[in-house]
Amino acid sequence: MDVQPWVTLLDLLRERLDLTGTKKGCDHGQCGACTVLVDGKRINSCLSLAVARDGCDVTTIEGLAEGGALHPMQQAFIDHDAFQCGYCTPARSARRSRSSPRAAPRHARRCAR
Amino acid sequence: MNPFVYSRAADVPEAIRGATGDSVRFLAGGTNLVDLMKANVERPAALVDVTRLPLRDIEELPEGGLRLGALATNAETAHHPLVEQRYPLLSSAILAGASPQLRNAATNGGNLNQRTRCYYFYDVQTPCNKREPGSGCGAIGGVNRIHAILGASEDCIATHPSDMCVALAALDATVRVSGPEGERVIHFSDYHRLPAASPRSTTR
Repeated sequence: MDVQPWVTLLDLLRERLDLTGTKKGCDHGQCGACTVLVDGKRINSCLSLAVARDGCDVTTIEGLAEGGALHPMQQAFIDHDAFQCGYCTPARSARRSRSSPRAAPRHARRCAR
Repeated sequence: MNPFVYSRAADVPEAIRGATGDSVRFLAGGTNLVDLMKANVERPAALVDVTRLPLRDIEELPEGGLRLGALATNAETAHHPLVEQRYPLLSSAILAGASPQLRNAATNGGNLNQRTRCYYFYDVQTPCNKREPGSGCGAIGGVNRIHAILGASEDCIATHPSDMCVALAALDATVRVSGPEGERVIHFSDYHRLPAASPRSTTR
């Protein structure tokens, strides 16, 4: 995949790979709605240039569930009716997932190469 | 964000050679630079990606003390056992700022070189001597509660936003930098400039 250098990881995920679970909120690294895991660490995908993450493992909300089994963090949101408007739920699930029992969720996609 | 030329430096000398001219910037974590590019405060013609350079280690020095790699993230530094054990002030200061997501991406070098969060610096519709020398200062007569009490000038009252840098100054750190003329070591409290009459330059 060819990616222009000014494309953020967030825009690549949403606009090119149709992984729209990761949300664009403030687009300035403050709200956290764009949180994804890069090499297992949560970061703001809106402030990350996609080309700089070439070769990294990127996990989005789409990759947290194992087959039909929700990640414990996703299940917890359902169990506790914790959504409110729901816009930031994918990011809140992803950002908490690292310390959960299933700490290494399936990688949804690889970065652009 | 304006188009720019992107390259990835293979080693430190190549990165230094690539940083020719005023419109080239080094890209590391990007948490400040990319944000400034979105706001059109930074409009570099080229970015040199330094993220793959071997500057990520945190290591003990023979004479005592630690060397913090420029590309170690703020999170790696704050949670490093040797930093936690010997310099808890530094860990606390880093963890007092930003968010976990930002600290996982932001690097130590980037933390030192980040720009002020002055509202007028970020708003390209307003005057700012730090962004556009000679244009004036919107903050002096404007919204400035977060700004300098000490060290301000008639041209600029912006502050450096880093908590980490305050701790490094208190710990009497030094900064080792590489450039076209070789390496030099700068005492931490000399690394950042007061705004004086040329607020555009924030570091030495």
